[in-house]
Amino acid sequence: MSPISVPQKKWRFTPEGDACIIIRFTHEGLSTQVSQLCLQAAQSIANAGLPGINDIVPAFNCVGVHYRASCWGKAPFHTLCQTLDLLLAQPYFPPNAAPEQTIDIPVCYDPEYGIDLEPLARTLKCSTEQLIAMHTSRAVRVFMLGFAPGMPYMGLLDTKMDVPRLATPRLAIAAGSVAIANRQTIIYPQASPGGWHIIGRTPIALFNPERAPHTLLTPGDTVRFKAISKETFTYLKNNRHEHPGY
Amino acid sequence: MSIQVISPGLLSTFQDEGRHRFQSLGVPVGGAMNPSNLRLANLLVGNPPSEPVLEMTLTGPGLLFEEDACIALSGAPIHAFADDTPIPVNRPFLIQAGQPLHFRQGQFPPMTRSYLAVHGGFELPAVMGSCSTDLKNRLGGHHGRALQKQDHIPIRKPLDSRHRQTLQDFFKQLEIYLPANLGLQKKNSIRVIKGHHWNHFTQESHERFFDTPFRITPQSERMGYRLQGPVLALQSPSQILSEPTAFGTIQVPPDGNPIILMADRQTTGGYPKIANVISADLPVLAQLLPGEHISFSLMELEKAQALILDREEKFMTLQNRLAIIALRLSECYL
Repeated sequence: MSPISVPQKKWRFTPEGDACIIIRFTHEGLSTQVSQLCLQAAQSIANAGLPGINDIVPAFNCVGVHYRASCWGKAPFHTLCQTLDLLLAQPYFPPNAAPEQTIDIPVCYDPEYGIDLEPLARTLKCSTEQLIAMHTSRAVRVFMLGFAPGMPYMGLLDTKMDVPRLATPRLAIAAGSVAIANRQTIIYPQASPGGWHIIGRTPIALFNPERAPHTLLTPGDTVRFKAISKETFTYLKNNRHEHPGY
Repeated sequence: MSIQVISPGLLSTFQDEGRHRFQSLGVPVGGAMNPSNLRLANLLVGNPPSEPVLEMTLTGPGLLFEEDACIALSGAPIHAFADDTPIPVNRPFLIQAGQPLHFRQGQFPPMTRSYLAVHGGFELPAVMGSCSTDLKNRLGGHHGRALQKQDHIPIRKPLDSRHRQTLQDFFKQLEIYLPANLGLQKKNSIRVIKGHHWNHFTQESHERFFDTPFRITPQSERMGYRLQGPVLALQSPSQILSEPTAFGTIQVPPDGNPIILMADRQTTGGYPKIANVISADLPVLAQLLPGEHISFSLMELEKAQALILDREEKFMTLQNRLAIIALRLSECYL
């Protein structure tokens, strides 16, 4: 006998303190489908123009909604949850603007920049060339931006590239460093500490407060990495305006 | 028409309510560590509540006003003087052209942060909708950095010195009643609601979290307060995908020492969250010094939000009562 099918809700709400709600999609782990649900939810909430919403933050499998409790009556969490619940239950209409884009990001995989390239190749029992080929051959999705302005979390990479983060994070990583861990790849937009394996560096800026849009990448975008020489790296670094789109 | 910086103080940055709407791009919110003091300082000089103010940490700067200005200090009961005249905390004060504003180390260094508001506001460019200084990303405020010696900070509405006497009399007679729950009192007990990963921690960690005080370590600043006390452990190690964080989120890295995320926190984080400090106690936390101890107590979300609404109401009442300040000052511009 087959079990009685119960209509299952796709999301639930949890408080993140008294001024933020996290909408959690009941899918496990990390996938393009759940990432899409997050972006659609974020877009629907933004379009609704609800009062007292300070920030809408889509992540891998959840969305943070930062709000002013004083705008939501006597029981703010409860009232906002009800409103969001109704909103999310409505069919989603993709917006006309902001199409998801495919962007090529040039990366110099020279060991001078990709300081973990050789040890990582040894760990994964492949050549550095094979490692670079794995990183460049598959287009990846931008799941979310976080940690630093404009910093993209992208994936998923080949299952062969499923390595944990470094046991001890580095204190200083150069701006533009391209790194991998757990089948994901990131780019550090600014110099910062970090615990991912660094395999190369891009000359492209990811964040500019003076320009609109402020970030090169948007969640939902597709990224392809293109291997470049050191000479091209230097040229692009000095002539950043020539990069299409930014 | 500006303020000269004679000495910068330990860490003086301009802050408003923060850089909202860009967390989805990974841009930290920042803003005043003590949002209540930001608002209060502004109301006392007849400003809108979110006008940028100068957040001063531990030791205040030396400032020289080139024109008369109406200022207010809120927060730490700091020993501030205009020449030799003491400047009261939590009151509007008329500082005269050429008078240096300076701070003396008090006998008791009781609180961490003090806020300086100027009527009409500081003339600062907004970056992505906010004048808050983001030190890490070098955005906003005065060139994205803390004050330095010989900086000049323009102010928008200097006052005509011919009104000096009448304004001083007006301020002297002004009765200001500050409700206690605007977060102005010093205390060491911090109320929290349970965090999303509360159930992932061991029973022993739950008990220790509330029973044992934690010390605020010297590695505590605008991004987060690193605490030292009982080590908190998960029932089993778990991998958590990065997810949104909030001002007051208490996360626990693998070493078991909790970190309270403060104003300059990163937008997302991948450590388990044991609890969240309630909004009403964030101003309290912002005033505690490294080395001090705090203890946590549990509160329900509904009660925490009732406190937000209550504080909001008190601020609205205060704002109405103090509306006369802006009205009076509007007759006195240069």
